[in-house]
Amino acid sequence: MDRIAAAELELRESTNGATRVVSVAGELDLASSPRLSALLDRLASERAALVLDLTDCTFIDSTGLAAILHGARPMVSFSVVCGDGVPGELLRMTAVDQTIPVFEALDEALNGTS
Amino acid sequence: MNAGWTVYQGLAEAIVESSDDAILSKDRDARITSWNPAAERLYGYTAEEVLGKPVSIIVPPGRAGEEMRILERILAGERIERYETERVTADGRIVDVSLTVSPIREPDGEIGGASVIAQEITDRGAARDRAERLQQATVELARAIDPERAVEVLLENALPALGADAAAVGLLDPDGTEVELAGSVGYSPAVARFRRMALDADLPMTESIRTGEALWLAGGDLLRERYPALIGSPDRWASLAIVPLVAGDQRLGAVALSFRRTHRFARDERAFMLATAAQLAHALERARLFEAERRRREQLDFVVEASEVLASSLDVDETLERLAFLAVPRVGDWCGIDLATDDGGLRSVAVAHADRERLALADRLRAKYPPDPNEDRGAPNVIRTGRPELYPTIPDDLLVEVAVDEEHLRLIRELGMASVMVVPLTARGRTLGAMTLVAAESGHRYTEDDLEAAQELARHAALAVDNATLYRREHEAAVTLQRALLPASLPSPRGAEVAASYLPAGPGLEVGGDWYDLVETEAGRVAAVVGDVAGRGLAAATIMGRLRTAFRAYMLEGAPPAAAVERLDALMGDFEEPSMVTLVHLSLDPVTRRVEYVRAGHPPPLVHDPSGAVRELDGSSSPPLGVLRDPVFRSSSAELEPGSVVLLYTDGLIERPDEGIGSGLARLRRAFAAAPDSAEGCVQGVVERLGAEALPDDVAVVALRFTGV
Repeated sequence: MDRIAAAELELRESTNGATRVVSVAGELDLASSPRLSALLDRLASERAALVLDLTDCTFIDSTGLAAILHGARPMVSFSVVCGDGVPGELLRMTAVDQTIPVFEALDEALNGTS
Repeated sequence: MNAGWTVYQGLAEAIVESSDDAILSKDRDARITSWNPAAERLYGYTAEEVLGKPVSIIVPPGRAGEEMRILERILAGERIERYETERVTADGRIVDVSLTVSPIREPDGEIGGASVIAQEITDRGAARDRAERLQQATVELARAIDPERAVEVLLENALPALGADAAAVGLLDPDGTEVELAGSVGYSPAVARFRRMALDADLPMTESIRTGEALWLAGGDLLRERYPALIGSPDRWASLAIVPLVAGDQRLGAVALSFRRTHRFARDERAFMLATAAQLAHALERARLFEAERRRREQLDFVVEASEVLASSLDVDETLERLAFLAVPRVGDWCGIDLATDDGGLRSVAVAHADRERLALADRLRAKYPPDPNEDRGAPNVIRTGRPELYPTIPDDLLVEVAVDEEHLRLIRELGMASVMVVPLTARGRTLGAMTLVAAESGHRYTEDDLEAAQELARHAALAVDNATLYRREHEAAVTLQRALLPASLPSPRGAEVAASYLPAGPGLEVGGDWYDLVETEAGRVAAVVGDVAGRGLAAATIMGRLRTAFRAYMLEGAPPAAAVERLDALMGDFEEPSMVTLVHLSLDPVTRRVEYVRAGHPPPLVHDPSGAVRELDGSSSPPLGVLRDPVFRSSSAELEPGSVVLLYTDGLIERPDEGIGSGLARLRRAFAAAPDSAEGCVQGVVERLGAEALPDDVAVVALRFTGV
């Protein structure tokens, strides 16, 4: 499903040791996904290990998912943190959780990549 | 010294005798002691009649105590100069006089009386009267904001001030070729002959306007000799004064005053006329500016309203019709809008008139005498050249020239066109049509200013039309594309009943990123796919188009489901833009009822068992296509009972604004369970139950029912 509404999206970058963490808060949809794509493109050149924290992400549609998956490709390692909400459901439905590691909490993800 | 005094006295006497000014003297008791011939003439009394009488006989009742006061001052030694007052003559007429009163000293130095020199200033009274009237006229003209009132004010004041018998004001028309009589007082109805005068006519008023010079014409015969055009008019004027009205360097018209008696125009009379004319010219100028300002403001208001109309709808014809009706009667009595057609002709889109009954006339005209697209005038020409046309007046000869036959001429005369403008509707360098504005009943004459305002309006309209057309073309392209993309028909394989529905999301677009396809392969198998390209609208549809074509080929080739999906994923690696696709692909044998399926990132297919239960085909799942480097696509199998129905769909059917996909799926299962048995029934059933509440997203649904062979 793809939504056009330009909802608020907040992206925050941080570093934890050798791992980059991108926290997504708000809604990832047709309007806001390009921002995430741009950010992930930028980080791709760093050939980093990346954790995408979707804990505060309230909504994802397929364009958001596409942005995540395309962004993940060039990364050395990529994992996702998300709970049970809408993003989690989508990741399971689309079987993304079978190809990309999905954790329930940030520290699990960081331990997993260290 | 006595001799000198005698000479002086003699001289003084001679001066007094011959003076034009009335000179009298009075004693301390205000009795008249001397009275010169001029006093006789002024007051109408002979010296014998007044000598010894009190001077009060020439003082009017209203001025009763005056003499005493004057005398008091004189006896106190004062000299009074130019004291203006009134006196009364023997025959009761009041005269205005200016008095100079001096004490007369006796040889012993005592003041014995006073000498009074009286100058008649009745003329000066008239001058004062005129000055007052000029002042009054100035004040009222300053207040007058319309030309009609200004002319009225002038006529009210000028005529009595100069004692004229008739007065008129002529104004030059906007074209500068004719003078129209804007107001007149005192003339006979025959003056109507001069209601409109050509500027180059040989008439006093037009001559004055042409030359910018005032005319002071005394003598009736001379008048008629000089201006033969005046012969035959019933009014016999002896004298005529014409003063041009000029504001800055603009000629506005002239004021005319006519006198029955021969009248010599004294200097101060001429000055008064020139001053009053100047005031009127100013007032007229101001009134015109006011009017122009008011019109400009009205035009602006109109443009704002017009913009709202133009923005309100994408339906070109409807919008232009509303615009045309908005324009009448403000911008014109008639408004017609024509659009150019592709074959070089033109199409009438709107004809408006404030009185709808008049429209019948225009309809009759158009029906019987359709406009000629090759006409070198009017809308056809404006569309061809992209240049506006302005006809400030419509002379009858023009109508005669344009008319095709008598009936045509009669009809176009009936329209009553007084003035016409035709402006092009041009946007982005192309002329799309033309707007024709006609002033008829209102009698308004269009000016260059009006033309400019109309062009502005036309620009707005043209842009709106162009945008709407672009939108429509894009819409048509999208619809055409989509129609090419949907399966023309569904196969009817043996042993299976098939139905499908597709509802695109975009308003006005019939195509989106969702698709479905169903083919019968060799060996009687049926291959089906329901897919969803991430994104919306035409962009997603374009990707969808490429994918569906490729995938159809893979299905027809009989590729095993997982392999087909793998190939499609590989194909996407070549795409310029990254995209993502989820799909469910099944391959089934209607005879064995064995289904092999791949679910790639997509909601699970549902199966409605003959028992009524609904379950998911949730075998191994695969990731979405087009996103992973080395995706692995796996298929699963299931064997279904006769009468089972398999339902494939896209997530648009189960998404809700504030719900997770899980609840939507549950709702679908319930709807599917309750749906009628047939494939078509299932599709309709779930679409009806869930489609209304679904978010505006594409929805594709396919149902396959095993009929049992």
